[in-house]
Amino acid sequence: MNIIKKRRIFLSISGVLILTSILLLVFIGLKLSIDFTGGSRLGIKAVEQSGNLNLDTIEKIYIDQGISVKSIQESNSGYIISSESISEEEKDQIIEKLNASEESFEVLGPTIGAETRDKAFLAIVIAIFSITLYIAIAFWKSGGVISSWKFGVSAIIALVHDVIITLGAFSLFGILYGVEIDALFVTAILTIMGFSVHDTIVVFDRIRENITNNVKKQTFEELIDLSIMGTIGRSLNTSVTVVFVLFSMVLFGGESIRWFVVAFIIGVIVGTYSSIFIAAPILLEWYSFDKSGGMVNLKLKIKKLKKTNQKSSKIN
Amino acid sequence: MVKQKLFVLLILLLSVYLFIASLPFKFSLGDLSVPFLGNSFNLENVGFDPKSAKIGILGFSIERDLTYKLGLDLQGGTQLTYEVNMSEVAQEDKDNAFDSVRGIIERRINLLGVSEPNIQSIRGADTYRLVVELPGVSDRDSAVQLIGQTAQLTFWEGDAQADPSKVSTDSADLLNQSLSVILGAQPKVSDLTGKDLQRTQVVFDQSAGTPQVQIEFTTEGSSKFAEITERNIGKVVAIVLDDQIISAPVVQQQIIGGSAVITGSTDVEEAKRLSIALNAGALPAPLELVAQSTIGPSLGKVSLEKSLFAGLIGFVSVVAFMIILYRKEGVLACIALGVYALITLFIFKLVPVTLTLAGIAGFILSIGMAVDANILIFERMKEELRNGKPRKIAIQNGFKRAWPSIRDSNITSIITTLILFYFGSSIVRGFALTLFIGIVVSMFSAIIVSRNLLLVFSSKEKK
Repeated sequence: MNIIKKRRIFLSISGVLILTSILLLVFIGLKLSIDFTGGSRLGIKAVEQSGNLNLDTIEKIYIDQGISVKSIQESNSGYIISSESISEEEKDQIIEKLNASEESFEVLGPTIGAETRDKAFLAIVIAIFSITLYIAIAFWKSGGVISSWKFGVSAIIALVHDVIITLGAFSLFGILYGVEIDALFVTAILTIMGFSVHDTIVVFDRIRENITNNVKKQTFEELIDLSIMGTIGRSLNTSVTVVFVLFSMVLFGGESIRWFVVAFIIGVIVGTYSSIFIAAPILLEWYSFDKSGGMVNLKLKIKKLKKTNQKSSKIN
Repeated sequence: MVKQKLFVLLILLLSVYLFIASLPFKFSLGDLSVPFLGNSFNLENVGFDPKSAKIGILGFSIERDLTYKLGLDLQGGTQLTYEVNMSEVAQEDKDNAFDSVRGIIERRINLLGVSEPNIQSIRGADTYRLVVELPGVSDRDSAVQLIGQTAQLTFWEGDAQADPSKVSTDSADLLNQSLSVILGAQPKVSDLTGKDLQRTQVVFDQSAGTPQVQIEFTTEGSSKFAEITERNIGKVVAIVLDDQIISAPVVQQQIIGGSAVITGSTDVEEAKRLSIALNAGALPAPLELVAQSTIGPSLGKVSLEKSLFAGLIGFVSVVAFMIILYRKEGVLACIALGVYALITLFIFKLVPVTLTLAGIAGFILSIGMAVDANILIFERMKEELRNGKPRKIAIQNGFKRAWPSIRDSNITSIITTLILFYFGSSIVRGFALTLFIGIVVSMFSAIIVSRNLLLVFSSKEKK
């Protein structure tokens, strides 16, 4: 399999995935949990005398109380209901009407929600910035063929790729399963960012090494291909072990972190894919772009194109 | 070679120690006596109590509680987040006010009798927050009530000029009615409030031994109190908390010193309640409950069992995968992985790290990352072997060449955990901390433990 030769195919696949994700995010968006919006979350457990509890009966009880429901999710033992903020008395009344037992109850004020949102955003921005900086420093001596910050930017492109696709997947899960984004999801996203770069660095590290030890005077394209082939075994093996561990957590682990772990699984799979099929090819595309004259040449080409366009428009 | 063998032996001894330390029960060799030394050397009480460790070196003794600290989501309990409203407090007094609010809440919690409550102060640019964690408390109402009484404490006195016929008969105004009974018609509120209270405490009458509540006023409060007592000698003054009369002592004499006692409590409990109630009015800034969560004890237990089981399955599947993939080296990597897990768990106890559901997920995830370092090294070794290098050189080169990748990739993960720790709420922090510890220990275990194991065992095979 010649990955580098077929890089345009992989880049197109990713392009389509990213476009779909962005469309999902723009037109449908993510369902924010009460962690970000404020509100109440009540976990109930069905008991014998509960009768036939289902989504409709629960929602009706809330509506009868004049409380708007945000979402109801099934759990192993019962349901988890998110709604606008309710008081202790309102909660007790609901529990009584549902004839169920209370497992957990949370109330979050709107100020805390807004703050969590701001903090999450800031954390992601700082993470992207510091990771780029670190890679630029770590790849300072990259052999001179390609400048170190280009490694950093390529790694960040792969990272953004992973994050957008994971977000897109959760937008889809939101429609399909009513999955909500909470503070833990942001944690997962940040960890995925770390992991994505972790994977990319292993490939880049090999590229750097191959550039420095280039005794056979291979071309940059051959070097990149060699580096990918040299690291692909490790990348797949590592991802498989991590995914094993993560699957055991989805299957057997606690319910409240299930989607948190699903986010990891998607992130790890996409991250491994991007480290092999995206990060290094981008570096190569960039390199050949620079070789072909870089921005200056591109500007000339665009000018030419414009001129021909103008000519053609004149004819019309 | 000798050095490496010694090192491996040391690591194995350490693991045995750590393994015993992580046993969920007390491990003791009991009364073993060593036969050839007769009864003079008795191994009595040799063992390890997983609940605490005592290390004594040259007179220094370190004692450490060695139980896992479980977060509220695993053991059940109530978490309350309070915002302290500082808008009425002068800028320079804010820090002081915050500290004293915290102190007051701490005292009130202690009265609840919760074991190991935890209070965290979180200071933002101009937000002052207290996160109160009450393990095992599922009766949130009483906790909220006791902690959050942002009650208004007022002192009421009778009006001598009042027309006795004008007794309030409005049934809705119960407070006024009951005050009228004690203080006469048209009771009036004095300018002395909870803000004028410095502190209150339960003391005992030296002669009779009966409990009483001692109140100390601020300077301003002292003069106000002096005026009130002067006006009301021989009369009743009512102390009202919100809408309830909590005490109605008779003024014996004018009190000038700024310190007074309220007698008449029948028992210590009652005096304590009165003291707490008075303290409630003494909060320098009002509290607002901005978030709360309660997790039932059974849910916590189920979550804990599930995550431990998931961790075990994850660990076993990684072990199986590594052995299938790398055979003999895989076995060694798994031993290193075992040592890794033991060290990490021990650090969790030692720090101690409060384990939450997300925290356990972080740890389990770090197992996966720990394996990664080993895989990187083995793949490099394989390459070296394919290039015809002798085994020992291949091992050493494999480590040397894998190191930059391991270092750089783990540092980026460490950067994200630090950011998470800095920005996160307590759940997120639990995850960040366990993942951080996991990553650091995994680097140690891959580089030091795996390497020495490989060098000792692989070279032997070849001879």
